[in-house]
Amino acid sequence: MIARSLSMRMPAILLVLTALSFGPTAGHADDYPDGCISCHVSEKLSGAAASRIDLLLASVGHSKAGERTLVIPDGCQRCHAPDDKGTATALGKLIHVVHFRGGAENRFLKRYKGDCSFCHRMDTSDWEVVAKSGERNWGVKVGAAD
Amino acid sequence: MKERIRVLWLAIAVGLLAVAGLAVADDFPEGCVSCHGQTSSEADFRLNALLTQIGHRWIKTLKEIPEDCGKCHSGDDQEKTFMAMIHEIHYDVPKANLFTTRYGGECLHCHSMNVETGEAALKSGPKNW
Repeated sequence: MIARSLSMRMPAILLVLTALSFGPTAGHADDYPDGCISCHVSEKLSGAAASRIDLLLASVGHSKAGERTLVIPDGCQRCHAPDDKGTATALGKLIHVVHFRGGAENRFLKRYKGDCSFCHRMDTSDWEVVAKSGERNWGVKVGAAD
Repeated sequence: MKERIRVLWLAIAVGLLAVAGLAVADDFPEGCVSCHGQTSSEADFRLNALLTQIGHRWIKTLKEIPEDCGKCHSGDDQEKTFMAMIHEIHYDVPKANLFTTRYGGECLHCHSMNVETGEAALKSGPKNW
């Protein structure tokens, strides 16, 4: 009797177990493992997705130093040093302002909920927060498509 | 009639402001003490209770949290260790950790962002015990 009841309920039990096992896993999946370049992928300057960084830099008249930058955002810190001793504003501060200024109207807050973990990750070896990084997703010349 | 239209516009404006306010509302404006409270249905998560459980000293001297913690947990190494400890407590074993499972592991529950300077800071508030 019990076995029959269990077999009848098995599909429902399996469904619940599957849902439970997917829930927490999905919650910890990282859609942006390489940070900036995982999100900034669009080849258009406006649209649904965030534009590629070389296109954004060209649009604001950034110097061509960006052409020598291979790993993003690590390479940016040649000039945008984190200790404010570089030739340009510390990158962290600059990027925070760009992504948070304007409150709820800011696209990063509006569309991406201002989630720090899209750009940062917790280094569990020393429990420090670090910026994710990855190789740039554009060609040699700033402002040109691959 | 004009009066009704005016009232309607006012109601719409108030409604929109309320929605905008909710979108940027901060449920934990004072960081640690905003979250570590006590409800009738749950265990006492206030920091004095948690610290007493592990035999921590000097709890009575604390007034502002976590600023006053820095009186002992200070200096480059100590500060780093304190920060690392708090991060570890809140992010270790993410699939089971209450902070990640129930509170989404949101950095901005504990930290604030100055949107003009781009500097992140620790929220703080008076002790709640």
